[in-house]
Amino acid sequence: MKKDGELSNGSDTAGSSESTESSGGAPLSRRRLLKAGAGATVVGLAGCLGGGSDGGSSGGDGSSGDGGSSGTTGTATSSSGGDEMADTLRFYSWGGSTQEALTKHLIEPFEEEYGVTVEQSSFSSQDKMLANVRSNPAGSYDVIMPSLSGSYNAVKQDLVEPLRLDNIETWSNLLPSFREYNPAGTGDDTFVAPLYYGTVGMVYNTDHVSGSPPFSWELTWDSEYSGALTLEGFAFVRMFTTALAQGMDPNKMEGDAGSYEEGVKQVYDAMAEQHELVKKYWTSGQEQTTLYSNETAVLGDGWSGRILSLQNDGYDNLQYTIPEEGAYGWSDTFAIAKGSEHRYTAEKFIQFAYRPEVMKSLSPVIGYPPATGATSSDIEALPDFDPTGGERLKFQDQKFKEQHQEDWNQTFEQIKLGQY
Amino acid sequence: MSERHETRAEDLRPASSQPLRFRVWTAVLRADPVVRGIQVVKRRERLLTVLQAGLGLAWMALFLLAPLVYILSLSFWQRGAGGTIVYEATVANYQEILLQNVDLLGWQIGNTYLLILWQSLKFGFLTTVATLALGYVPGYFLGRTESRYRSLLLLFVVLPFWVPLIIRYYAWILVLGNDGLITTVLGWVGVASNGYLYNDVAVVTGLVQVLLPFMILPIYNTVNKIDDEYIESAKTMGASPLRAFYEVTLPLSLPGISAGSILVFILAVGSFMAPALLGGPANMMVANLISQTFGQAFDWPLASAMAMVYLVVLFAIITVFNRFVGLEEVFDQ
Repeated sequence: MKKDGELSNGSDTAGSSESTESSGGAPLSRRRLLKAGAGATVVGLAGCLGGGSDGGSSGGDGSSGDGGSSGTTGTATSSSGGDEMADTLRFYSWGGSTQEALTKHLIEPFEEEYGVTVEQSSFSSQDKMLANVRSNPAGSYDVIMPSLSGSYNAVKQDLVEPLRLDNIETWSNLLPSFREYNPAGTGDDTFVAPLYYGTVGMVYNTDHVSGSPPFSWELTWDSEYSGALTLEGFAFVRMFTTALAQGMDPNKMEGDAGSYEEGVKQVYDAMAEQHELVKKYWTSGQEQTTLYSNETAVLGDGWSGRILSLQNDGYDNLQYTIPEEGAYGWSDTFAIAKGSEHRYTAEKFIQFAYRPEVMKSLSPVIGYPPATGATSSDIEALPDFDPTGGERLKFQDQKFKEQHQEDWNQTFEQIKLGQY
Repeated sequence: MSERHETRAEDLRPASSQPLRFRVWTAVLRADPVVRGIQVVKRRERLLTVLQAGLGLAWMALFLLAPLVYILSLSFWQRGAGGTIVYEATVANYQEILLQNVDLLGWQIGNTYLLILWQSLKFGFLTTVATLALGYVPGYFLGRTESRYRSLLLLFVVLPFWVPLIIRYYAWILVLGNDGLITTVLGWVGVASNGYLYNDVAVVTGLVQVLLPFMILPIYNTVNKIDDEYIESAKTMGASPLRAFYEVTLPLSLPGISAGSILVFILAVGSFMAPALLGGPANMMVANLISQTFGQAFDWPLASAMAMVYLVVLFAIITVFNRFVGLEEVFDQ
């Protein structure tokens, strides 16, 4: 749920061509023409539906035999390969500056050391990534990059292989707060290897916001900033942050009365009150950059990496801070795609990434602190760096989110439409 | 067929001088099944037409109809944990979209989907009216003018298509936004403001700019085809230029107006980027809601049902429009 160009590129002009298309003056009556086309339609449908449902039923056992993947089908266990390094590794990551940083500081050194060719592809949003993994034949990807929240869906949709931690000798480098993360809730397997973490913290413009940290999220309810406030537009982040501001446990949302119903009502009320002040809900890094840099917004929330790069571009009046109540934490992780033919190589790739020297060079360039214990002065200078070793980080309970997300989404829409 | 004539001409040359591919083609084209096939097609032009039309139809079937059928079937399934799909037929998705929080007797609708759909239709209507108001005169002028710069002017109309949509919307952010063109210019005359972005007007402004060519071009097309003599004879019979316009030109340009309106309306109602980039906290349109339900909530069945309802509503509107205007005539032009 982060990074560049998150807006899906739906096109406003789509659909124009078919409405203007004419039938080209064929000496056929319309009815006949339609009749003639019907046969072709049925054939086309048959082909397409076959493909469609293959992609849709993500938990297929591989026996459906979707052709074209040259023997990559098969169950998870049979396709995992032996414990030998493969020649290639198919790597599917965030695009943009993250991909550049990964290429230079992780992939190229890995290729050099192990003689493995890494074939890269990139995505611009979690849902596109998951949809692609889901609809491509098993074995199309080896290492994918879900966020912590995306990893829950990835596990539930059966898109990832469990990590065999014995093969990842550097696993113990991981911060303790990440080691326990268990998106599936089964407790048995580990599915994701967190790489770096960040928060959705507070952004403020020192020309307009006085005082100094620690701030409270309460500030974002101050009517002084009416029309100059921007907040992340995802309902689950809004709920989480608002619950923090209300002094609740964001993964229980029990208000003073001690029940979820009471608590969630309190959160909704607070969100509706705050909505009156909001100029724009942002959904991408690009939007944040625009809103804060041209001072359309002087207060709100954001990603530290974006604010860091704005500071580097000379916007010294923009500051990022984690308020005293804490902030929504996220992490980008590595996971191994279901049916990967190069599972062992992928595990060695993760092992390589967890080496302290790799993290030390990678993390400052990405702009977020590593999920391992590696530190350096550059890493400690990062806005999201947590000196307590990740204890200050607050993560959303994905099961809790899954349980209530539909209501949250709907109510948030109602609030936005003034119908709450 | 001309190809066969060419091959015969090739035959006159010594065989050795012919490149291999000509010899292969000759052999292929002379092969019995091919010759017979071509003759069959030649004898039955109708079959040829069907083949040609069939190709286009098959294309549409494969990339428009088949995905639609897939979406239709998705809409009757359910979302499982973590965005999985549970293959159990249900109409719960439709119930949620159409009936939840709807109190028809009290005339109260608190259903987000329907509200957002209504908002989209409103934006579509406003955009259509605005593009018509702004597009008729240019379209009329281009259709009637004798200027030798006409093709150049027409080029200007389609020129924006060369710039990707997203860039045009970002340009509007630069124009309307804080520190943007308008605030800066207004600042010179002493009007201070925090930009004009993130509201209804910004969304419609962006949509109008992007969709204007879809209004101008059909109007230009119909006006251009109006015979001068009609207008001249109206004037000869004593009609003032204004009356000649109202009684002759305007009715004759109606097909262009309705074609343009329907195109602009459909495109505006389904727009995604304008509300996302230029709209404010409340400006969500149906495409954004569907995309959000697909992506963030990972509820493909519900999103599919939303898409189907949207499609049916749009179809109904176009059908009603068709009753009044006769779309077939419009596109027959």
